[in-house]
Amino acid sequence: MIKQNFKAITGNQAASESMRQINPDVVAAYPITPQTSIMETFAQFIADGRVDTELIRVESEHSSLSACVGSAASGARTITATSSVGLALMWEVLGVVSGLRLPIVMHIVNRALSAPINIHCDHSDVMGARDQGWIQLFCQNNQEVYDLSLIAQRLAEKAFLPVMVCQDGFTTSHGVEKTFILSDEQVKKFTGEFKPDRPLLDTNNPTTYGPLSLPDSFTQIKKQQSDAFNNIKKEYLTIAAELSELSGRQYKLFEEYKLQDADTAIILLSSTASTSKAVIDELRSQGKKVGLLRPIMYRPFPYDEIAKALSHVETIAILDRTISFGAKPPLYSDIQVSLKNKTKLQSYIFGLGGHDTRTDDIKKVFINLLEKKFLDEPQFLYEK
Amino acid sequence: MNKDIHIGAKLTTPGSSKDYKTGTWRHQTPMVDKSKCKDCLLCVQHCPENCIKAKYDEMSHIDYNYCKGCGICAYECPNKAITMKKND
Amino acid sequence: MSNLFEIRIHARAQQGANTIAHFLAEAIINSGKYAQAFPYYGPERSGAPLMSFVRISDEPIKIYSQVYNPNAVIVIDKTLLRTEDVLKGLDPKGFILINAKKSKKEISRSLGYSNVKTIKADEISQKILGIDIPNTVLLGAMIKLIERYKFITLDDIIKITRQEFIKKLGKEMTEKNVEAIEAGYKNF
Repeated sequence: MIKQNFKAITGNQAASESMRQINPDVVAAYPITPQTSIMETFAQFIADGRVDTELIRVESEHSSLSACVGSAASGARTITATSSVGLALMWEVLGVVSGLRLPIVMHIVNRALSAPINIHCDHSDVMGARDQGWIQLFCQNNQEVYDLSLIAQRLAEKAFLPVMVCQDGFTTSHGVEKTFILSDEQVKKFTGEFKPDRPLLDTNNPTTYGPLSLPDSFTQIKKQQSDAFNNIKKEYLTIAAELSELSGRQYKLFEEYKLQDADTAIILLSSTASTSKAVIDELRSQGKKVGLLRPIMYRPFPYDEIAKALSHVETIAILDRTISFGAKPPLYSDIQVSLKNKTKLQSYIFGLGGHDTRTDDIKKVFINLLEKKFLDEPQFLYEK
Repeated sequence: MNKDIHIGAKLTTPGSSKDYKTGTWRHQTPMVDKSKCKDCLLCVQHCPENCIKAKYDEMSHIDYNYCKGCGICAYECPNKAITMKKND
Repeated sequence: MSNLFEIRIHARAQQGANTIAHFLAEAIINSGKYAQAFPYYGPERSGAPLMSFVRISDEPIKIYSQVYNPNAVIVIDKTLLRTEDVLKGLDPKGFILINAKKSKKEISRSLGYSNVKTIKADEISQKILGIDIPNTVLLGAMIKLIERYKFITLDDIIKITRQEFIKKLGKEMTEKNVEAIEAGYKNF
């Protein structure tokens, strides 16, 4: 175990702590529950002179991401944060960021989209944006928020692609946990200096951003972006390995928990996956060969790697924390493609609008799997 | 699981917010000294909950079922007829 | 999970429930154990009922759901006894600590539960802090009541309190809060 300092902090504080150590040039953000305390903490760092960041206070999330576009295009290291309908309000700009290949890192504190209004956690916000060309990393706890922020910063700047670092609203964002923190010097060295690609402020190399592209060039531009996007997995693993030298913590594309010899498994994202591990421990003690696969990188989706990891598993339930109206849910759909319909899959929808998921609920999922009870339609996971 | 939700979660009972007695949220309660009250009705106008009632052109009463104890009435009263008392 | 101890706190927003949950968790984490502290909000508004949860364990805590079977319950606002099911899921051997003026016997009878601890935290905090914010008094009381589990000491909590409050409240008010914690502790 590498000796490190730790703090008792919330997930939002873990995000702002990583931001403090990264010391971005610019942050433009607008408050929204449950992201607000990231910015409150970070604004205090600015006020105390602990960072050199220029804070741009804007009047909406559309403006915050737009300001970030200007900032990142100028060559400034730029970070922002939002949730839910805030992310929805910046939807137009998401594609601008990824299309312009700007390495913006955005913390998303997952919260349900409206209507009706709900301030609690589900994944509808980021799932609704999964096609926009942002790398999406999902954190199960505060430690991952901290560690994946650092990996995200390096990854974004290497690949020139934006990254969403996602955490569950209230559950981790407002939950205090033991979180190991690297030293300021270590983070400074790890993130290094931002080397922008043809920044606007480099007047020696005059550049135009955001041209009009007609049908004859558009596809080529998009394919270039797509190829780059699909090729970042190796880079992510390299950067994660470098961080693990400093921290002792390993990150892969996904986490496998007691999956090696499992014949029955569940797949889900974020903190509820952690809760599920307690259920797996209990069922394992009863001799049931159960396990879990928790994707950490959701976009780009590691189809082949996940297929390989699940090749020996006979029955699988996929739990999505969002609805894809009129279709099978997102994570389920991606797993189905990954496994090429070779395995028996059960879809569940859980935790919408912050609906609390207990160990008993997860146990029910496993019991149904073990009893080979399958239903075509996605099942809603709650007490009837 | 609530079976009686209208599509779009539209609330179909007018005035249903009256069922949620937010008066329980109070930390402090406005106490009215009628002898000081000049019926200017500023408190009636300023109350964000619309729970200070006027009868014709006189200040009538505060509906404590809904008063959340924000203290705006006490602040606005030019005659200091309303004081905020800490809840027991 | 071995030795998992769970606490549920009932309060209204702005009564400092999250503060004491946070301090408890921080003190426990600093002592080498594992802890979680997190809230559940209803309407986001001062005075609206909320719950705060604390988990304590020797091992890393995997569970992220709310606490349903607390070993102990704290009620910061006694008016919640009328509107919230404060005893829900409480371990039969668990205790409930209530900020109340009424006698333990009276409350025990109306709740239909015997393992009730009461403390006049409003009065004590009014006397020490000059304002009836009872959360730190209750924190001190809680430390005493869970002392036998040897999670943390009174000094651990006082250290965290000083560390966390000094910037926001200044030296004088911080020390008054320390006094409030000690008063709560000595009450039992």
